[in-house]
Amino acid sequence: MATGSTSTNISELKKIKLTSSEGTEFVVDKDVGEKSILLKNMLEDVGENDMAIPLPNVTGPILTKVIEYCTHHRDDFFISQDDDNKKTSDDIDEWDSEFCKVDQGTLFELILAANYLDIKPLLDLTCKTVANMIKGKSPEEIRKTFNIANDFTPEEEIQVKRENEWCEER
Amino acid sequence: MTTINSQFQLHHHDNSAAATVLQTPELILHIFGFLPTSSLLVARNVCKQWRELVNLPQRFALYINEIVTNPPTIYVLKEKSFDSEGHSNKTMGVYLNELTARNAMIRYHREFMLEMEYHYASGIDGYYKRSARPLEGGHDELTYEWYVEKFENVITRVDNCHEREYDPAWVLTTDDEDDDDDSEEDDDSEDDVDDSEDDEDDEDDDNDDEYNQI
Repeated sequence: MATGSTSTNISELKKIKLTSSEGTEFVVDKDVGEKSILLKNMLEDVGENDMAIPLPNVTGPILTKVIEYCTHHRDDFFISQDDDNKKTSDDIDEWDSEFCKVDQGTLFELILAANYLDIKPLLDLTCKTVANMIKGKSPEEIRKTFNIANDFTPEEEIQVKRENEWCEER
Repeated sequence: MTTINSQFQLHHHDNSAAATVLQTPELILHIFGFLPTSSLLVARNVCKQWRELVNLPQRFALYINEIVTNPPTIYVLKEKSFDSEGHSNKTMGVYLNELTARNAMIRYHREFMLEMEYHYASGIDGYYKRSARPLEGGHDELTYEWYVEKFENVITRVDNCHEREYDPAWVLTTDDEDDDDDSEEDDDSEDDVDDSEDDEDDEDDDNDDEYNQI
């Protein structure tokens, strides 16, 4: 810590340790880790501490992806912008969309991790990617894509069919 | 970064993450938040849970049901543009009654006037005529016209509709409107639609005069 005094920004040099569900230890820069609101709050509560933070809900591969994302976006301001006008899934930039080219299981694990670690931009990005997988598909195609069972009763099915016909006309 | 990834071999044996996400209402709703309405209406029909989550207000659900069983007449405002390449036909809006469709047409007409005044300072009379007419000063011959198409039956598509041609008289009779009285005027002008082609040449001068007053 004492060596940090020469730096203009001491916090840049600080590292934090995270442990994935398998017990693998990850060392990341503090500012990268603090992209996660959960970790940020934890660090504030705990204060200076060399203990590794256990993340039992996040596997090593997923944590690696999350760190990759946070590192790439370390200088971005993660403004919590909740302006609903901008709620579209068409505004994903190139790096982000490349980042999301993973198998479906990984994508959903990333959603869970982003939700758990409270990284809003990553949650938005991954949810937008899933939204893009839903767009333009029929209900049957959506069920196939996400392996969802059709659990409508025959009576409900009639109403569903009518609505589908109506929607397809749009 | 790719090296880190390959080190860990990102592959997963179970779909439990997908199942967890797709059964967590907050997360599904977060995903749904990025969908346009048309996709939401489709999502309703995927499974029971999604149907509950995309819970349409009762009135809207009834409205859809009503539309399905008893298709209404809708009015579609179309914009036709002609240039050297040919012509294109663009839908500008869909309206449930003719008056709103026409008011929208008037709006487009006005915007177009402003735009044309800007780009072509002179020689632009006549662009709102029913016939295509070349504009002076432009590189292409470019003419726009608007018309409202009436669809008697929304479900059975375009084929069964009968077309209602755009009549400049609509715009001009309602132009000085202040909302209330124009519905009657509109009804009158509507009847004239089919005849208007014959009268067109006679009307031209009048139209231009009225346009200049605006």
